[in-house]
Amino acid sequence: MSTELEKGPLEEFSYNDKIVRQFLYATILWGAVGILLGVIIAFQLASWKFNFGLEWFTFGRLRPLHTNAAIFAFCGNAIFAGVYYSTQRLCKARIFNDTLSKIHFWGWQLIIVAAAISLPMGYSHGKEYAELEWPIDLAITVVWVIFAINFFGTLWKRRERHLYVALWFYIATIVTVAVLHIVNSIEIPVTFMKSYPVWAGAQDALIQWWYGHNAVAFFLTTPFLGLMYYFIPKAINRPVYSYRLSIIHFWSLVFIYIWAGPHHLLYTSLPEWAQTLGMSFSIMLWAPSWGGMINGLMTLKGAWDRVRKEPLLKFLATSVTFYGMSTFEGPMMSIKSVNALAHYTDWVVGHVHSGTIGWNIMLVSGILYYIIPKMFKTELFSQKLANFHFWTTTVGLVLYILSMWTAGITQGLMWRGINSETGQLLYPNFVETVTKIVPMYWVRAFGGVLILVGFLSMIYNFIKTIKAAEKPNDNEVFQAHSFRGVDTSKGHRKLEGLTALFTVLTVLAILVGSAIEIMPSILASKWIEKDPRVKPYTALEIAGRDIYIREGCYVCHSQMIRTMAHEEIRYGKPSQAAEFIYDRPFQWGSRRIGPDLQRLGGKYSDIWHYRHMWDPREVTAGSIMPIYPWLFKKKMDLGVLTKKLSVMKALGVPYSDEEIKNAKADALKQAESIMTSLEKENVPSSMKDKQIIALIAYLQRLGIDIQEEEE
Amino acid sequence: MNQNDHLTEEDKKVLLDHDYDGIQEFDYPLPSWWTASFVLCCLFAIPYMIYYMGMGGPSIAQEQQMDMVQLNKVRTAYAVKMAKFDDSAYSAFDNEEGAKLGAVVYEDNCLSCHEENGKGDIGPNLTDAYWMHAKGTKETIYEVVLNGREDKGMPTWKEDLTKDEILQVVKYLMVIKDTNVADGKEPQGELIK
Repeated sequence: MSTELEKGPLEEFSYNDKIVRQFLYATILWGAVGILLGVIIAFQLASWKFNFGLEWFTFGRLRPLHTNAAIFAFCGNAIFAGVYYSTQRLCKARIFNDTLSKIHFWGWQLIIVAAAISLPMGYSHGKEYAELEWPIDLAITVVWVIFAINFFGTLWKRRERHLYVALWFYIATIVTVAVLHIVNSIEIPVTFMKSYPVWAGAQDALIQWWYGHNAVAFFLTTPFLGLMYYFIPKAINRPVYSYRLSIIHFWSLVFIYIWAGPHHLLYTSLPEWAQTLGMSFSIMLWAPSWGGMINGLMTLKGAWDRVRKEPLLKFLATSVTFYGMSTFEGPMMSIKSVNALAHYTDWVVGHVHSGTIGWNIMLVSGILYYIIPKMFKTELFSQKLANFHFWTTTVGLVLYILSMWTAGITQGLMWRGINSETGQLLYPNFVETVTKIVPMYWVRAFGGVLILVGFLSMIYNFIKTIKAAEKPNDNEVFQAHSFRGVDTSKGHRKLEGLTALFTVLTVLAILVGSAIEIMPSILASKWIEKDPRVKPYTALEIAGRDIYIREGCYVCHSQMIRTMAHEEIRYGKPSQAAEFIYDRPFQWGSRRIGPDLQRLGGKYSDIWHYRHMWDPREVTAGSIMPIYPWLFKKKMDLGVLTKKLSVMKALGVPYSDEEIKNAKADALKQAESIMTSLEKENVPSSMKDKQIIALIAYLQRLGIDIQEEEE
Repeated sequence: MNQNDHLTEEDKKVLLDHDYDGIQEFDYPLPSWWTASFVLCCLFAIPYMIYYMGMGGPSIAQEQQMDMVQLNKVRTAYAVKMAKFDDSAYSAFDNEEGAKLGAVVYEDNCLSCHEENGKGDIGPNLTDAYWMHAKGTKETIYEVVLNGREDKGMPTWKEDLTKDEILQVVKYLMVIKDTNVADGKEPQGELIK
């Protein structure tokens, strides 16, 4: 403890709470938008008619918008609000720079608006939670660096010698998200809103899920643990349960989390050693995650009587409980044999939402109910309404989780069911496994409506609260001593006074796992066995593939036949890593609402695809896929193919100079041959330059290279 | 309200002297069950990694191939069983009941290309007297359904349908052939009388 001698002079300062309020309002606004989008796409799965046949409103485009809005707009703004509020108070210092704060705020909102416009327009990387195109990627990097400068600048100016545990989690968040975002987004621009990643195939998959999993870890977990460590003791007015537990679970969490990404790729053609690492570290991650839950719940336990009465504390207690539940479920689902059933099903979707709704929304709601009345020095307008919000969210979430468990396990079991007498699949028609779970989609959508209604009631509650309150005084002056002299504390406590060293150690902790898993894919020439039969896509197929990415086909279709007997019977030979070396980005997918497409090529005729994209129900009764009429109206953009192929060549795809130069002519030629087969089925020749032709070319190419040789 | 009012004697013993914006910390020991579960997870995960990454534990591909060997035994035996048209098995469905069962199989599997009542769409009209691959007999229809003509867009059904289901759908096709439904697709293939 600092003695009088170590104290510096008493200094006066004020907090920048205006920026906190701005981020809070943005949190509330984007929260409503994110949940509304979730409800819309939930209904789109319950009935395809909710896609309305509108290009920009279709599930494949709105689903990325929902995830981006929920993660980066809602949770992002909540993180910034909470970090700025608590860091100032934990450091007894105003945020480093008010101008940077403003740029941070408006920059981030601009990014969100750019996402909200560009994603429905179809500008997408086709990599989950990293869909935004390169100019927006650059903007994210700049704004994140500004946030980092502002945060570390505040630490530098602090009047508290030691960093409280919340700040450790903020440090881990800021440095790791920067690393993840930059590495996963390395790409070469083709045009203003189109680029190709430098990573390809299995390597792209590894890096994407290293990113994707750690977006969950370092965007949805560590910052919120930091917020939990600040707001729970504040709201309940009790000391945190265990300091030493916070040390141990912090370091074990940041060290272990980063390894777990490959558990998203079990049984795929990712090299198996990486899969084994992903599963093993996921299991070891369970206890470190629960360390945070224990500290949260045990802190609340000191005043359990109040938790039962006050909605704000109910939100906080429930959020930590759901955090515990989903961080148990996650490691369990990472076990290979469990994952074999759960992967590609709605179980994963349910799991994710018990985290995002149960942990993130609940915690943020609790924080909002704490912070808004406090900022305006008033009481909440209605505790009753807050209680209503709590119960709608809880019931909605329980409906969500139960329906997705049911749907996921049902579908997973139907996929693997084999008739023991004939050796045939019990449900060979994929669509049977979909129509079976559609009732669960209605239940989920209803749960979503409840959550939305609850959230809107909170907004009403805050409007009433703020209207009745006086304008907050942002010039309130606080006093604190600065610190000076040598820190005589020992061990971890001493480290808590050394921001730079603490940050370096955090970076090292996250780099070990990252380097061991990713570097071999960059350095080793034999990381995957090459297969000479696998050839680059033709120009027209590239055009079709970019349409596939634009429409977000990967949100419902995988291109990865897992190495399992029932998958081989259903889809053909298990996918090999060598088959994907020209896939930029990879399109393995994470959910099969429709069947796997990796060996789709040649399975159906061109006219089948033509009809199917016009109205899937023409060829597959009961299909829930949207219609794609605009593919039959819009012309292909073949002029850009030369540029696309030359970027691909720069990335190492062996196109000849002729192929690049003649890209457009080659594409037209291939389109003509598809048109010939379609004209036999009375398709008008005016379709020859429409986008549907390019898409058919791509779909008919899938998995062909290896098939041909074996027949 | 002073938070220390609520503290027990035990609490006070482990309360640390730091104060961050009013937040204090206890230093309660790690719950023993928590430490135990952490250690147990590591004790499982680390040997697991060693076994599968360094000591030759079976790979996913090896395990899958073993599964396929078992499965293929059953599948090959069944493929042999269904390879030839089985007249005696067919006779069990050669009735109204069989045609009804066949209509259901047709609806679930064939309708998407051959349309309602077999009037034809992506696939040919099944109600006229013209045949592309089969010759209009139950034996030849059975063979085409079984093996398909993948290059012509007709998939094989031996993977998805059981022998009985194929026999049922053959019965259904025998019922609808030569019914020449209204607005059927134009004839394809050769005329079989």
